[in-house]
Amino acid sequence: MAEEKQETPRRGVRRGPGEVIQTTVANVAEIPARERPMREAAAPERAWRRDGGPPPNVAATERTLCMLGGGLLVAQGLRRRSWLAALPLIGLGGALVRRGATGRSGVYRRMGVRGAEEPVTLAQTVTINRSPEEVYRFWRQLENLPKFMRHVARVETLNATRSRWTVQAGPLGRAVEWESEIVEDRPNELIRWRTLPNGAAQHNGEVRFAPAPGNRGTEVHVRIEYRPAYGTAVAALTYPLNRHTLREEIRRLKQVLEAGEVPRVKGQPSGRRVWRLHHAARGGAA
Amino acid sequence: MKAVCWIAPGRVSVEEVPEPRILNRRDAIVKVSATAICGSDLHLYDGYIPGMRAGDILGHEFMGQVVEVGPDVTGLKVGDRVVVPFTITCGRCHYCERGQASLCDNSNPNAWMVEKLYGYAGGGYYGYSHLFGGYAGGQAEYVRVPFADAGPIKLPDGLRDEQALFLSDVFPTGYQAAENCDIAPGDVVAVWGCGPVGQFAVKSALMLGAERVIAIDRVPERLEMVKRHADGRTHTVDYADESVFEAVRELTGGRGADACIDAVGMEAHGFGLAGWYDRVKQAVRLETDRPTALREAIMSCGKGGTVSVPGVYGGVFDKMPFGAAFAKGLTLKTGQTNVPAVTPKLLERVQQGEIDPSFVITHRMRLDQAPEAYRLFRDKRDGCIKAVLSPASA
Repeated sequence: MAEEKQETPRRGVRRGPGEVIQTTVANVAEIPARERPMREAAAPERAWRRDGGPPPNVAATERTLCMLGGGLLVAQGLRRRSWLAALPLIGLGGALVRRGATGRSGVYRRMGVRGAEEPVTLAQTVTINRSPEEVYRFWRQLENLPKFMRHVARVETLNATRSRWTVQAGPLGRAVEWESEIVEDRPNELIRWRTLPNGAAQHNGEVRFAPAPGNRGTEVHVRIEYRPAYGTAVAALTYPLNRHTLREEIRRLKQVLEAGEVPRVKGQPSGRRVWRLHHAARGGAA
Repeated sequence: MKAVCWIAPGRVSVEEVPEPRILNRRDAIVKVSATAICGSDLHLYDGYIPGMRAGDILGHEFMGQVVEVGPDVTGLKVGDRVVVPFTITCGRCHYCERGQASLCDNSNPNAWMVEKLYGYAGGGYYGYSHLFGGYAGGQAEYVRVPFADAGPIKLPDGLRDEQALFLSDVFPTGYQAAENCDIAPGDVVAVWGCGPVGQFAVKSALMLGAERVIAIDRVPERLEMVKRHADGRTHTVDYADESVFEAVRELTGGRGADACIDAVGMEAHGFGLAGWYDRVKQAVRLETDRPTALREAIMSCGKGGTVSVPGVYGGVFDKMPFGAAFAKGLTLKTGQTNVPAVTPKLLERVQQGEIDPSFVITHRMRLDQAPEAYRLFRDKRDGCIKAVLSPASA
């Protein structure tokens, strides 16, 4: 408990992995009082004044949402007849659009949030009723991956460590490609990989296989880390994975390995269409 | 083919829909010979289970003949006569392997929705909303059965449809509820709700050695059915007439019941202030369930007893006497029925003539009379306790 407390930043400075600022209660006390900055944010603030603007600190997805939400508010505002009702909507909407477009938030700066700079980490875990050997073997045969990674169209093995990935990404479903390299491979334990430069969807990935207690099979821990290309807010929306889809992918991995298939209901009968047509013909309302 | 489709709360309709086909390698298609309306279908009918879409095919109690099997189905062939558990089970996950098939990890394609509500998701069910998989149900002429080598139970010759049909849900559900009570010789078991599950819970508690069973309901024909089909070891309590707590206390020599079974679930009828409190809260969606029976069961349960809940609950509710459960050291047992583990035992009892489950049937109707059957069953009119639908004469 005591150790944990020491690690806690004193005033909301969020530390990304690898960041060197270690302003903990413990080491602040070691700095002589006159050298201590008034606020943690003060030093960088002075620095960016000279460069003409603060660095973006709003994450890409949030910027997109700000722009969309702000746009909607402005549109709503313009439809109001009374200026009294319209102005606050347009004002708030405009501010949100500006926040999305510039990626800079004064509030975040004061709070010490650095959304845009932080890499996005996606982590999920599942227990599979199969031995670590089986699960590892299935995953290591990279051609198997599209069986449960729905967004991956194809994986081709190029040599012992390199592979080429083809993915249907984004709202338009256009095909993007990248090459990936296995940087660590411990049979039945771990596979770690990273994308090679110049491909799409740059990321580092890791999957661990650990025997689950009580003969329950294998705990599979997947971790993917990527840096959203801030400035292009669209990148976050078009990135082929998020927390939810990653979860669904490892769920499908479990289903494929345990049940031998992914359960589906698409294609089964229902009275939906029939019923709608029937009622449209009779002029009935749903 | 004809199928019973959910349209809107309070409204079902028999529609002409396409026939199901094999979608996965472990699928089978079953031609339905008999199907029934379950008390839990009424929760869908009344609109209390989220995730229903107009046109969804209902029904999770059905049986019939296998007419087609997928390439990976082993141990089941065309022509087999089967009863199909209402829980869809992969047969190979940790839970299926240890007989907890209703908790199957792999059978609900929409497990993420359930995880949002409950933390972790159990399996899918036939015709029971998209929350629980969105599978088309068996109140139809044909039904697709996923993981067909794991779920369906083959029936021996010489068993009538009506004797086998309830092995899909209500009989094993009542039985598991009684089994969960860990009945010891001399135990008194109280059962809330004398619908089909309650009837089977009463019978099962007696089969498992209960000294006495107290059956609680207010519908005269349901209490009558308990009296008719259970021997002298059963007492009935009409909760419209008397205080359930006092009656149970009286019938147990002031000790309280050793085990209480809530076979009512989320839409209990309540009287007085508490009853209206729940109705109002549920109507404005401040609570999802009306737990009158569960509250009573906890209060009426004697010290060190067990409260077993086969009745379906969906969400959150309040005024739960949890302090009473704690102070009396109660054990709470819940959950959907693990049909594949329970039904083979019951099939044996039916074959040996120990019990004929068809005693609960009050209405035999055609599949296209489903809308009327749902109304009769919900409104408890015409003495309706259990309606069986036959697609053959549809």
